[in-house]
Amino acid sequence: MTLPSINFLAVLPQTIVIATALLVLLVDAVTRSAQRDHQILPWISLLGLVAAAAAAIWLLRLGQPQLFQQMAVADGYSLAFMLLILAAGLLGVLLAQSVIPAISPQAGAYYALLLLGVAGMMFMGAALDLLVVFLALEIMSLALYILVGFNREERRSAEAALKYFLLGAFSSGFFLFGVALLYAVTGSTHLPTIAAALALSPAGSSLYLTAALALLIVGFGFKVALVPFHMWTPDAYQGAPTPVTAFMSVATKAAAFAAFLRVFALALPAAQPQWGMALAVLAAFTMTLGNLAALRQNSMKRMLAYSSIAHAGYALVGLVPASSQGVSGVLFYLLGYLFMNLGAFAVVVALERPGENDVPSSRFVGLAERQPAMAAAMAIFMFSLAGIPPFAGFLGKFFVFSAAIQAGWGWLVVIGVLNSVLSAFYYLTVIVQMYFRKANESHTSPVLDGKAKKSKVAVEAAAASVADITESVPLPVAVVVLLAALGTALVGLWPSPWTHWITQAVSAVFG
Amino acid sequence: MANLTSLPLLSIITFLPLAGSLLLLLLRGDKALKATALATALVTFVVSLALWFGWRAGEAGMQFTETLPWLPELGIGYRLGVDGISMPLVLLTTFLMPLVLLFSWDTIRDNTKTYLLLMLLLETAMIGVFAALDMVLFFVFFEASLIPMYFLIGRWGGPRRIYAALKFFIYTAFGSAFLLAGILALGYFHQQQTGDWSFNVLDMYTLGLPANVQTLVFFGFALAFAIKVPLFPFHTWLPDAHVEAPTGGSVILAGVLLKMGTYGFLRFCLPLFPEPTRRFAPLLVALALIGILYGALVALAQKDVKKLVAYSSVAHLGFVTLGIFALQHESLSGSVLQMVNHGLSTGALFLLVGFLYERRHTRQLDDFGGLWKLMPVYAAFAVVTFMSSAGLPGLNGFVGEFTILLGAMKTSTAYAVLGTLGIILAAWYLLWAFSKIFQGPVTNPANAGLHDLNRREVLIMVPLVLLFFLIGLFPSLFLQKIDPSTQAVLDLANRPAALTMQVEK
Repeated sequence: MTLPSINFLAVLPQTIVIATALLVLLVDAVTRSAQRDHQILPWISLLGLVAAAAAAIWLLRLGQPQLFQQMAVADGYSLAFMLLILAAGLLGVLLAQSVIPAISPQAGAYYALLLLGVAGMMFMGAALDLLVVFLALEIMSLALYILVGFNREERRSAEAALKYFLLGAFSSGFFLFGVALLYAVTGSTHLPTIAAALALSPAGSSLYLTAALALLIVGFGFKVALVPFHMWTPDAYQGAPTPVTAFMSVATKAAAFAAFLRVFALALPAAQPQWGMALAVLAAFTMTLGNLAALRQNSMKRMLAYSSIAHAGYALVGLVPASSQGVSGVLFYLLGYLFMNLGAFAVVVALERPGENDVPSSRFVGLAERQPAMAAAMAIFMFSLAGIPPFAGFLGKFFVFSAAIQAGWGWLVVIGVLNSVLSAFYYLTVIVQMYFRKANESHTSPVLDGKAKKSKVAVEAAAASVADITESVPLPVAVVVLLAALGTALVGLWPSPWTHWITQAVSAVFG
Repeated sequence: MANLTSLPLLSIITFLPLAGSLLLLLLRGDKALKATALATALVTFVVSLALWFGWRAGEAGMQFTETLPWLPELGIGYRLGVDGISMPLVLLTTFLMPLVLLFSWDTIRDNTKTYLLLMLLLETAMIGVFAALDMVLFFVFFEASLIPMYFLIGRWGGPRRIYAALKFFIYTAFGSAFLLAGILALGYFHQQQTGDWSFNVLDMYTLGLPANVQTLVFFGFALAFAIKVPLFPFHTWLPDAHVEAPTGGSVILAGVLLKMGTYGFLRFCLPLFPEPTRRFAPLLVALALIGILYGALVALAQKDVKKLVAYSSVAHLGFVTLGIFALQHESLSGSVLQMVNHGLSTGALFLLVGFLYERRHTRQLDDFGGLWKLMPVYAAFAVVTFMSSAGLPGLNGFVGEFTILLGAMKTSTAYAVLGTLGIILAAWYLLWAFSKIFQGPVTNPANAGLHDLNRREVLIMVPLVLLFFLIGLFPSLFLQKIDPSTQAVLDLANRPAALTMQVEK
């Protein structure tokens, strides 16, 4: 028996990220006594993420898919998702730089956890085996549970973390049970083997298969926040420190979709007649209920949380047909979503005052006069999220819907476009606040959901509102907002390099 | 002039305003900003005249075409081109914009930079709508034009501006949703029949769509355009938007944005869906006729001049729609000409209302009276404009309405009779409004100090009035460019059903 030759190249980007996480912990431990405000840690994290991205691009250039023991693969598809997640990680680290040191002395843990989460997410798209998917899911989730509750001073943060953890653990159970049932039906957890087994035997009548599909949908549905598995989302998004929300709203969704797409479109296309309609109905409900709930929110973070639920619905439309075009569409959609959604949360970070972890929508009143550039960026994000051309959100929807209509899902597309109109109501409200209402029309008292804050915070906030005109935004946050706005506009106006790359990568994997 | 055709002329015209708006970002000082914006609009207009003078007469097809790949994976291309239907509308846009900016010269004091920037962005979007030959590109410009107009109404509008802006945006976006679904469906059928995705409008003309699909997609398109026009009963957003919008916004809204709807009917509904077009033409004509009569009657009941002009737009665009769905060559050409006419005369009406509002900060008819003696120059321009709008022979409005009625007569006498009734009503409300404002004694002492138009205001009105006469006296100058293209559209709309019955599995 010879030792198997292991191709470590296939997991090079993930390895770099994990190594960086460990390095961050080490440096944190060594410099802790020095009280140097942990300024070096974000830089190490950024460097690690950039190195991982470079490795991913290098692997992409090789052209050849790199297999890691039938367990994970670095092909065009997984590398595309990796780059997406790494970009989200980069922006997430930048956002955290000014916020995290203020809420916790353990900044080192923050960056390390974020990097570990990123590593887990990267494995989600790369996994070729359901067990690896599960492991990646757990690595990602455990890191996120802690990150959500990172602000130990804030009860809401702890509550959010607990809720996220309990429901998340529950859904992991569902997922694992689904894997077990699928193993029972096909005799394997290896995705290509499952695909081959299902293609050979018309297992349409198998009750086990149906149950397995249902359980897997519940598991993934929880992670991407589909209605009715979305209950955790508003609380977790609102309670988590805003940089965490910004990061997880984009990266978790991308990672979960990476695995969702790979498992359903690659391993289970033979069963598409069984799961297609179920997902279509879920997508319709997710879009509609997400948008309806978002209409009624005063808290910016809650509104964006419901909006991100609706966006999971739009993206899911691309998975329904199980086609290469649909998968490309979802990937392109998530690319646009990365910029517009992270950008919107970055604006929330920029508008938060010391000690705050949310922004009431009234804070946006008169923003166009106080911070014109910030308001313009937010307007771009809002229009893009509403799917108004010429921004990225429009083309993303177009791509996804064209795949759905190609497979004959006309009614789903009609529900999708009508939902875009519905969503315009609440996105436009933000623009009304920023541009159309004058600052003196509003009350500037810092009321968050009508709940009185601690008096110390209130005094601080009152002082801050006096100095409203000179609100200064930390440089890294401003950089994130700028990059996101540029990305949102660029992907919308000049899409062909992205779409070319994405369709190439996807069609190589999905045929 | 040989190298003129090698220039991407349409792209230059489309994106000059955008370039100008980017330039504005770098500038400071109101005067420099206004001068730059105005210069941009003027240069754009001058460049766009090359379309007119470089026009190959007698050709029905697209001229000045450009093609670049944009999103080749989905068959979306950057395709531009104009024919005899869209070229006049491009010119209308580039002609009106300098006048609007000139009007705004002294009247916009709040946040001038953003206002000018949005106006120029709007110009790019509007020209793009008329020049786009790819349906997705068309949709992008169609929707993108909402954004600047939304800001113009919501930021610089009247007391109920926020409500009006939202209503305008949501109403149009609602229609656009069906338009988008229809566009996607067409792309899909193209892919089914040829194996490739394409959203090229001209490719679509050769597509054979099953009849039931035609009907479904036709209604998607028709709803979007009916809201934009607006046809009765989808018109309720228009009076709100017009009353609340600043004058410049109203001029552009009535002058150009509404034409996107009627242009959409001509460019998409007739040639793409011949079968349902013929079948449902009476329905659309009925809505158009209701709009003509209802708009005129409601205009008669108004106390606010701006609202009166807004409702007159509903009536006038009813005429344009009547001409389109009468499906006769004369009426189609008349409709295209009437789109331009309405843009000019209603634009002028809104400007006149704006002049008055700037002076008195009221638009109530009852607040005026006897202005003829106080503002003779203003009154003179008003006479010509009101007559142009009422369709007096010798002025532009007559030519358009007459040719539309001529065509409508061929289709059905009833259409023509009801349409003519609309003209009478139009004369009624216009003359009634005119007499209220200009004739009689000066009853309101607040009007006593009114001063006449200044040079800038005269400069705005003169080109408009000149065009009223030019089109009214020499309509063939325009019609000869329009005619071949409307004939081509009509031929497509009259395609036999057999050609469109091919369904491939």
